[in-house]
Amino acid sequence: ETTIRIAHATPESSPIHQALEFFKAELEARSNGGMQVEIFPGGQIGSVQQATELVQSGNIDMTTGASVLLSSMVPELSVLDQFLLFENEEQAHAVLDGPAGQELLSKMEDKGLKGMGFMELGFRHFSNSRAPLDSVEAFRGLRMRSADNPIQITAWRSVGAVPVALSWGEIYPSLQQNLIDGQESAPSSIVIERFYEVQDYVSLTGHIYWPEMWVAGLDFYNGLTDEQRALLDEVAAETVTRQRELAAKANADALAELESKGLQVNELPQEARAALGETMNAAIRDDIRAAVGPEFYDSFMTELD
Amino acid sequence: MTVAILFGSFFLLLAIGVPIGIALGTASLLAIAWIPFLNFDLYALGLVSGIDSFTLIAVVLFTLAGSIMAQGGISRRLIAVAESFFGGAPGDLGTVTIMACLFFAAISGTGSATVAAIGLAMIPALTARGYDRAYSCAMVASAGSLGVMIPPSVVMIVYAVSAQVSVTALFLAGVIPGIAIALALIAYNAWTRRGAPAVRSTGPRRSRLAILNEAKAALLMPVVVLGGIYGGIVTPTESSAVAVVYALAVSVFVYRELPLRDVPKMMLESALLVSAVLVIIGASVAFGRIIALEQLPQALAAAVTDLTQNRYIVLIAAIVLLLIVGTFLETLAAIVILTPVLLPIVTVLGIDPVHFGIVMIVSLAIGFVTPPLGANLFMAAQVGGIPFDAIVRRIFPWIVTMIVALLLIAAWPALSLILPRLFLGYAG
Amino acid sequence: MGKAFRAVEKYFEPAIIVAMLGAIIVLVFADVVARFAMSTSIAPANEMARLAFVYMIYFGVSYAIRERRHMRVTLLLDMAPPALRRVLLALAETVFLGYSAFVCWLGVVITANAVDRGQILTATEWPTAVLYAAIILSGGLSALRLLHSLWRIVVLGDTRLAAQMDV
Ligand code: NA
Ligand code: NA
Repeated sequence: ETTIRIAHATPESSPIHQALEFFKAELEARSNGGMQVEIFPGGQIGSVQQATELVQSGNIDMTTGASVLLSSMVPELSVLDQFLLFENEEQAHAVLDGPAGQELLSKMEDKGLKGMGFMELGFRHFSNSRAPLDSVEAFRGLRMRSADNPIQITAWRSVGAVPVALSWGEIYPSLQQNLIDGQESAPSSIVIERFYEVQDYVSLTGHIYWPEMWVAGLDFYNGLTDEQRALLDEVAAETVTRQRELAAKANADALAELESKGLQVNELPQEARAALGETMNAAIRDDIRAAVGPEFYDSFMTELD
Repeated sequence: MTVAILFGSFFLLLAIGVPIGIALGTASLLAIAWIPFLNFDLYALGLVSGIDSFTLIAVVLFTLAGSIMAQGGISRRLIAVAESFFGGAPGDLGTVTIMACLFFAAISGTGSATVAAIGLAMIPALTARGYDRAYSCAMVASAGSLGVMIPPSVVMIVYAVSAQVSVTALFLAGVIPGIAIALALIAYNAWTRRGAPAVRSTGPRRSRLAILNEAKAALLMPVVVLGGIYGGIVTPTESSAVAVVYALAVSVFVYRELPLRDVPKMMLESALLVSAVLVIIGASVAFGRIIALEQLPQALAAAVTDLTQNRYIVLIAAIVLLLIVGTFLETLAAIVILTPVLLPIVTVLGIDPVHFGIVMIVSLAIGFVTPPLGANLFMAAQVGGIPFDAIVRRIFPWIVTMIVALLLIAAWPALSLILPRLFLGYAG
Repeated sequence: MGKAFRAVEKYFEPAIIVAMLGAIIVLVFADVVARFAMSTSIAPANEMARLAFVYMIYFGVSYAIRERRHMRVTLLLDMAPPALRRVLLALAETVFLGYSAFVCWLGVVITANAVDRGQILTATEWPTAVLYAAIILSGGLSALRLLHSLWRIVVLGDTRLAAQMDV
């Protein structure tokens, strides 16, 4: 009997956790109990980086984490940190499930990780307490939370925003005490983390698509029998599909809920959105090319078209 | 068997005098060697990730700020002001100390920072006025728990996300129970100190105005730190650096009571004090992860809550469980693990999730001062310069006092819910 | 020679500890000033401060051995007659020594793994090995300090602990 231990840092109400519950139920049933799954949600075993290191060292078997959080381990993932890379979810899925995405997953194997697939949090939008963001100028002087990531900070500075590096857990009190005006994340996160309690405006900027990498330990994966591996791959693919459905539904429901809570929701006009993305990408393109390697960058970007 | 190895070796090593953190670490290493699916990297990675935290930086900086305040004349002036208003009241300087912890809780989200900053400032003054040193340390350790009950509190945010309740409601709900705990501690101190000879501060008697005037720069200190946070200028961790710089500037340039050449020695002292505590926190990361991966809290919860369906007995059973778990598991991990297990059980019995959150957080906070593992106990012993055993011997009445307050909070939901109902129209 | 050695023995960790704490204060405060005065944040300040903090704590762990400041339950030690106290304390320091040597080795393992995987820190983009090396240094220095402490217990019969020295 094989036990698969999965730790992740999202709450039990998240589409990621719910999809992993599906994975558990299906894998246990279809292996006739030969494979057991234990899930440890909410960061109880550690943050995304810590859990990934525990997977690499073989203490747990699987974890999930946003690509931007894993790019310090797998630099090629930085290619996904570009803005307006994908038009919509369908295009993102096609690219990530196709050869470009498979190449990204294969880059993880040098680091002792086996990429199981791309789950998602969806497109990221803005919430803030200052004014609706309806033009590039509206970002000027906007104090916003940024991950502790130099590329992101450079990008936001290029449009005149004031990025403040804060950890995920510091966002709520910082919004409440007006240390920052706003933050950007998927609509479902705005609801789950209850940012709406301290925000007035939601602006649908869709400036970046946020994949959540699902990884297993390479040694663990290679240690399975061929039969087990085949079943695992099959159930994993179904789990990814299911997670994307759950995420899409959660984001749609979240937007409706945010509106019903009295937050003012607006779209960023298409031209403004394009200008925003172009300015930010221009500021970081060289850094990203250098981080992922020019060859990989060019081949990945060709795959997009 | 894992439980036997983990706890058996821990207590054995403690008994022969192995330092607490090293006993915890060695027990974890033995358990890792025993459990087939774990390897030693788990331990080494935990040593780093447990310390690599921006929040913990506030602990050393508030320690340094507290020691600058104590040696640079700021604390003395603030205490003189407090005594000019509260002197002669029952338990006078003890009351002031507990009130200071309550105010500091509005700055800090952790217990250890509160204990360090207030302890360094107040314990010498308490000792000078005839308080037993170990008793004072136990008092500061207990009052330090207020840090997580009064907002801002990361622990509350984690519960709110885990239980899907409003953070703001929870923040508001914590205020009255936090004050209730403070009042209980004040009452216990006043009762212990009844009949103690009132020791007046030495020196000539001066008018309240003169005392206030002399303390101008010192009184600005809480204003600068609190204003920095609530004015949206700094995060709580950053406010600790502001506190250091402000305290240094006032002590060195305004009061001229602290020669600059003494500062490196104070820095070393603060760092060593915090190291002796954080070596235990670093070692406890792997310990906590082993407990979580073996799903021990869930097993314990199932055992305890299977007993009965009576709402009060279930609530008491949950409190007992939380007090035990709070002693061995880090608070945030305890909340993430136990909320999904306990919340469905108690909500079925009609217990409000916001109210339960407060009960849970207060219970876990009492764990900060429960031996053998309690961050506030360690910090207070270091700050007071007393052996760990000495503070343990004085802590039990304080724990009992807090448990009495906790039972009141648990039995009387309105205490928690009245503010959210009043200000947010909370329906629970 | 002897004098220089004694100076190093006494001031090695303290010099690093004070430098690290000084760096933390400057980094955190400078970031606040930069944001308040210039509406910008110093991107890697937070991470550098955390790195300095880890070094500060783990050098402190080693120096606290010299000062016998680590917290212990001394119930048994205090009840024991002097000879038994000496044996118990020697035993406790031996456990600590074994632990430190082992942790030093574990530090080597995780540092080597981080180097192999080319792992970097997010903000500074320095090798993660820089962070993990703190464990190697702390474990190694602690082991040396513990050998000295054992010599003090076994040869000199010095079984005093810090809190008892002060109070
Ligand atoms: Na607080
Ligand atoms: Na405890």
